[in-house]
Amino acid sequence: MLLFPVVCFSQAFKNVKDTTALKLKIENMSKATTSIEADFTQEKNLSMLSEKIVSKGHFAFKKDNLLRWEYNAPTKYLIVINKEKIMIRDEKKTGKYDMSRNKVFKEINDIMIACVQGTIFKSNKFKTVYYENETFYKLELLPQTKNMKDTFKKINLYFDKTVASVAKMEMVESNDDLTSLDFSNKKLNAPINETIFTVK
Amino acid sequence: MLRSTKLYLRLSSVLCFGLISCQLHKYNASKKCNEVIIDQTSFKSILQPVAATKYKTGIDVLKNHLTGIMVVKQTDSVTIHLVFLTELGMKLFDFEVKPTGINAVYVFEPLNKPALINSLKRNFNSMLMFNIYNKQAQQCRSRKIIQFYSIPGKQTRFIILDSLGIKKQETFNGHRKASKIEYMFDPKTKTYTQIKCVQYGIVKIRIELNLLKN
Repeated sequence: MLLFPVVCFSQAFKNVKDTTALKLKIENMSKATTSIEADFTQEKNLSMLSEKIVSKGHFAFKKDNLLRWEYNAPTKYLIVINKEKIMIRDEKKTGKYDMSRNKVFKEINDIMIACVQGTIFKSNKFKTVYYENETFYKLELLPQTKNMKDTFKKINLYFDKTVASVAKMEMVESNDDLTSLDFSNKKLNAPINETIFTVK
Repeated sequence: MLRSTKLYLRLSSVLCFGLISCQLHKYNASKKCNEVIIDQTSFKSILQPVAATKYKTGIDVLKNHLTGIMVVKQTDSVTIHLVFLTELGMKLFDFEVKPTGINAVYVFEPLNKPALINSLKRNFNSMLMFNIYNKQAQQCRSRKIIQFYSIPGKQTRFIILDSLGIKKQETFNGHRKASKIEYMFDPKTKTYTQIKCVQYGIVKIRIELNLLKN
């Protein structure tokens, strides 16, 4: 039973025939989603390490540009994005940054928000290839700009067949090191108090 | 007004000189030394030879505060990799340590500044004691320090030991202190649980490694 999700993600994928219909479904999902809350498990697979580096936490997103990404294990780490402001808090320091003045943060923010909303396929920084199996749609995003190519070989986004939200995300680096994010206990469009996105 | 400024500057210079002299003096006060070659028996090594070592890591450089996890792993008989990942899983750098030196295999583009990368390589090399064995050194005792190694080079490097292992390292450019590294050793687990490094000078760098349990 525990193996079920793993089996589904690894089932053979084939090309989606009607990509226009799938894009429309994802756009409708994105329009209909005003908020998302979920727990996440992040696994980092490094080619040189036999074991995975596992981190766990909770995230909350509220339209248009409010995001809280909180790691609880193995260490405490918090990122809050509130429109043009970003706050990063670790166990020792809190840093606040203005996104408009920092290209790196702007880039990371754009990717994070677009991935959470599932709208990243619209970005001209990626070329998208659409796949499906019996359980999931998979969007394979291939970087088109030099900076992105230096960082990622591809990003995979998985949606369940009802296209209600992103089920899993994978970031593959040029040497095939991989970071995966699995989302669980998802709450869609539930009320979220905006104070959790306060940058102070 | 001008006179008082001059006086202030003179006094500051004397004070600075005095402080710097004190820092070096502790190594020279009535020291007794033997010429030795540093080997595995000289002190408890920082890293486990086979297992991967993971550190919660913080790097402060210029106005940037970078945090994440550093993975240190021996990948073959002569190669060790140091990979620094942010909490988000993004790789910021991958350094490859060989007996000939440290190479940057990958550096996240916004960080890819030669001066910064060279400083990081130099500091990690010292902190984790890469390529330290077979170096010629003086094993000394002074009136103020029970045991230390003095290694000559472009910078003079002092490795201070206590009964448990390495306690501190200091490097000097002439009389000027270039860096300080402090170690915390846990006798129960027989591991170095914390390593803190401060690089002085124009580009100040602070690095803190806290061992993560496997």
